[in-house]
Parts: sequence; C-alpha cells; structure tokens
Amino acid sequence: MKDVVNEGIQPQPLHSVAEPAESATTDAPPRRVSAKLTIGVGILAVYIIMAVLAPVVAPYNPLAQQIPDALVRPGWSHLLGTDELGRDVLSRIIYGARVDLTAAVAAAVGACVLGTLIGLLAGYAGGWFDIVLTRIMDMMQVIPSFTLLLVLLLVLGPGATSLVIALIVTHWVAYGRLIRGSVLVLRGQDFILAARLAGLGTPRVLVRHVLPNVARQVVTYLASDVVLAITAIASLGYLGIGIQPPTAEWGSMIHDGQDFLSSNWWLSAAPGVFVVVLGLGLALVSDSFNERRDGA
Amino acid sequence: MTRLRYIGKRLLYVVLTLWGVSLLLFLLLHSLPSSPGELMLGEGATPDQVVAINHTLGYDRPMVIQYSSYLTGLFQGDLGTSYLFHRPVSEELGIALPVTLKLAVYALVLDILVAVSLATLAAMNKNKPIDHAIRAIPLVGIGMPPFWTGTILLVIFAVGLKVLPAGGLQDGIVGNLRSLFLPALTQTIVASAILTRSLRQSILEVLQSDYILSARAKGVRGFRLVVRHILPNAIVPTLSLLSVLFAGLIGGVLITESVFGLPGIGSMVVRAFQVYDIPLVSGITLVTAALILLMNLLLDVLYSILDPRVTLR
Repeated sequence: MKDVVNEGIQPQPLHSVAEPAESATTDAPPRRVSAKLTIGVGILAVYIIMAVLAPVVAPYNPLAQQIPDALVRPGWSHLLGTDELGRDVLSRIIYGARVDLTAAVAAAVGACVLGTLIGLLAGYAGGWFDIVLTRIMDMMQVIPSFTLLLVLLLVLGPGATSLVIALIVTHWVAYGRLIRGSVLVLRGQDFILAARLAGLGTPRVLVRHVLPNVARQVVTYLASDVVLAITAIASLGYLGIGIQPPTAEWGSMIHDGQDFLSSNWWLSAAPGVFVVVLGLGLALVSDSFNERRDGA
Repeated sequence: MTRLRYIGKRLLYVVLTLWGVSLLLFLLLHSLPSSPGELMLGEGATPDQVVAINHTLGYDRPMVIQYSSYLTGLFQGDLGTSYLFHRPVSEELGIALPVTLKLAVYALVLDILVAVSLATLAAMNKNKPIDHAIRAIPLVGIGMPPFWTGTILLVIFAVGLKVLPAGGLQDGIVGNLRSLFLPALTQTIVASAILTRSLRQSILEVLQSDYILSARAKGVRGFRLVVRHILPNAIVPTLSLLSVLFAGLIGGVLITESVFGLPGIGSMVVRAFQVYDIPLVSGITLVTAALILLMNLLLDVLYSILDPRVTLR
C-alpha cells in the first residue's frame, strides 16, 4: 500500500486533459456538463459518419490526379482547393479520417486492453510480479515515446499494422499505472474483502468487483488517449515515417502542403484544423466523463 | 534519510533503469529481420561483402558476447559508430545535443511563465469569463499536433509578418533566442495547458487558507499578495508535475526540430531511422532516457528543498 500514500515523489502517469485528481468543475454549474457531452459526441458523430460514408460524402476520388487543376484556390468546385497534383483537398481529408481514426482507435483500445490487464494483475497480485511489472513500466516511461516508436517501427517494418502495434506498445503504460494505482486502493476495501471471504476466485473478483470500479477512469483516459494516438500517427506521417503515400493521411497532407506555405497556406492549415476539432470533441467527452465521476 | 544518501540511492536507480533500457534496445534492435551488413550495403551487395561487414562490426559473434562488449563500451562513454556519419555516436551527439537541450530549457521556461500568468489570472477571476476562456485552452490545445502548430506559427510570424526567422539556427545568444522562440512556443502551446490547469487548482486551494486570510486582514492586496503570499505556496505542489511534463516535452521537442530545421538530436534520429543507422538510433534513445531520469531526480530534490514537509524515500 505504501505507493498509494506516497508523498508525491513517485512518478505519476502522464495525464493529458483528464486529470482525475483535480476536477476543474466542482465549481461549474451542473448544466454545463450535458452541453459539453452533447457537443463532444456531436463532433465525434460527424467524424465517424465522415469516415464510414467517405465514398458517399467525398465530392471527388481522393487519389485522382488532375494536373491541369493543380493548386486551385478554394471555391465552389473544390471547397478546400486542390493540392499540387490536382487532388481535391476536402476529399483527401474525408478519406484521411478513415485512415487516422481507425488506426488511432485501434491503437488506443489495444493499449487500453493490454494496460488494464497488466495493471489489474500487478495491483491485485502484488509481490515480485508487481515489482517486475512496475520496474518495466518505469523503464518504458523514461524513453520518449517518439524514439521508442521509431525503434519499434525499425523492427516491425513499415505499414499501418506495424504502426498500430508500435503505438500499443508505447501507450499501454499509462493505463497500467492508472489501473494499478486504483486497484491498490480498492484491494483493501471492505467489499473486495467480503467478495474474497465469500469464496470468489481471483478472476471473478477482478472482473466483477474491481473492474467496474475502475472502468470510468479508464474510459476517461481512453478518450484523451485517442487524441494522443492521432497526434502520434499524424506526426509520423508528417515525418514520412508512418502511413505511406499516396494514401490520404492528415499528417502527410500537412507536410506536403508546407512547400506552398506562402501561396497556398490552407493546404497545411485545413487538415490540421480537422485534427484540432477532433481533439476538441474527444477532450469534451473525456472531460464530461471526468466530471460525472467527481459529481457522483 | 539524509538528502545525500537519497541522491545516491536515486543515482543507483538511474543506472539500473538505463541498464534496463539498454538491454531492451539491444534485444529489440537485434531482432531486426536484416543484418547490419545487408542494411548498410543495400540490395546490390554480394553475400561475401555482407559477411565481411558483419564480421568487421562483430555482428557474427554470439549475442551474449556482443551485449557485454556493448555494455563495456557504454560504461566508457562509447555508444558505437554511426553507419551514416562513420563517426562515433558520442561525437555526433556532442554536436546535436546542445541544440536540443537549449530548446527544451527554453520551452520549459516559457511554459512556466505562461502557466503562472494564466493560472493566476484564472484563479483570481474564478468563474468569470476570463477563467472559462483560460480553462477552455487545454480542450483545444490537446488536439494540436506540434508539427501543425509549428507550421501555423511559421506562416504567421515568418512568412506573413516576417519578424522571425523561418527555420534553422542562428548564432549568438540573440540569434539563438530569436530562432528558437517559435519552436519553444510550439511546445508551450501544448504543454502549458496541463500545467495551467494544475496550478490554477493549487492557487484556489491556497486562497482558502488561513494565512491568506490574515495577509488580507493586514491589508496586503493585489500584485504583492499574489507574488509574495500565493505563488510561493501554490507553485511547490505543481513541481512534481514538471518531471512528468519534461518527458513529454522532450518527445515533443524532438518532433518540433524537424519542422523548424534545427540540427538537434530530433532531426538526427529521423535521418538515422531512415537509413537504419542502429547505433545512432539506440544512442539517441539512451541519451534522452538518461536526460529524463536526471531531470526527474533534479526536480524531486528541488521539490524537497522548497517544501521541507516532503520526505525523501
């Protein structure tokens, strides 16, 4: 238990927006909560529809090159203009949602499952098992995720699947720490002791009694982790390392647009705005989950 | 425990963790599908040439022998020889690391300045529009990839207003400060959000304490109240957050360098990755891990000096 009641000197999991300990909102009127959630879910819905119905919604083929129409300014025929190969920017962004969103969700959910499993086992089992896993998590956390991603991609080779696996390996630690910490607190509580006294086996106690109590925390973090995964995927695409061209991907679109910053700045700006708005949607969802937990 | 013994214990922990990282890197990079000879020579190489290169690099020795000689080298400061530059990795790092460090420290300082101002402004105006606006920043900031923010800043300040250089590193202190300003700001926009949020909460807690009430009763107000009474007490708890932030900051700095064409280890690791320069990639990874570990130690010790209630374990 000593890790739970530490003096703030132990390394803590890196939280993004959703820091459970400090609720930004105990002082906010409760009506804001539902508004936040509604807007957040609304934004996410638009992106999901965009990704699923890409062939229907996109005005053009994202890969079709029309060299005579290269670098057309935004207008009625091309709402966000065209790139240097005459490809429609809006269509590429819409198809990019498929690529980036799928990979990010796959990576975040994979990391969540792996981290939750490891965190549950480490926190509940304790002993040498816990010590070994905690040391591994410590070690993973001091390697900047960017260089670790590069090392993993060297080993796994190029491609979307490698990217998702590499992201899972770099992202699970945050979940592992989060869950382990909560399980350490829960383990000593009466209802868990009662369940164990009633003769329930470890798997059952973990799944039926411990897991439901940490679920909301995990979901809160998961929403912001999807944003971190999208940022990572787009960053690698920007550096030409991640998902390879000609596939429409937000990061590589921003990179390709950089050659035309002085004349056609929107080539880089537009895909970025889509990333930021998606991040906003997920942050709103994550935040309102967080508030509900505090309010309960 | 005395502070010195604590530092000794933590340094031992640093060494052990780095050893773990080096083992992990060694195992990962030795599970590459191709040998260094194949990677360096490319597809046109004859098998004899590949064997010869692998022999020169010692890659044909047993793994245990290779790892022990790698480890012995590490303790002597030898990180291997870069395939790309044909020079010792430690020499390459000696050139590139200062650039990254300058940027990281610049970003951290800017980060703290921005967070302290915003958090104070928000907390002193609790639940007013300005507070809501400041608290909304992280929601937008979280989705801003550093390379995109950097690009936008370049468009505004370098292409549009032409007040700052569009990339590269200028010489001299002023040149450094000018050319690293946008990269540092890029980091700050993302990272200061987390710090602001935590600091605001901390200030709100301090505001409710008795010593603030008594300071107010004595007539202390405004700027003096904030700087002399509130901030010194509110900042200390957020120091523990800084060590967590620093790891993320380093990661972000590495990506930001590529956007602004800065010759630091971030741009270097990308180039090394593209040509399978394994010694350089693992050297950079190991050095950044060491950097983060030492920074964490430094911040923890600083924390205990500033807040005597913290016991070091």
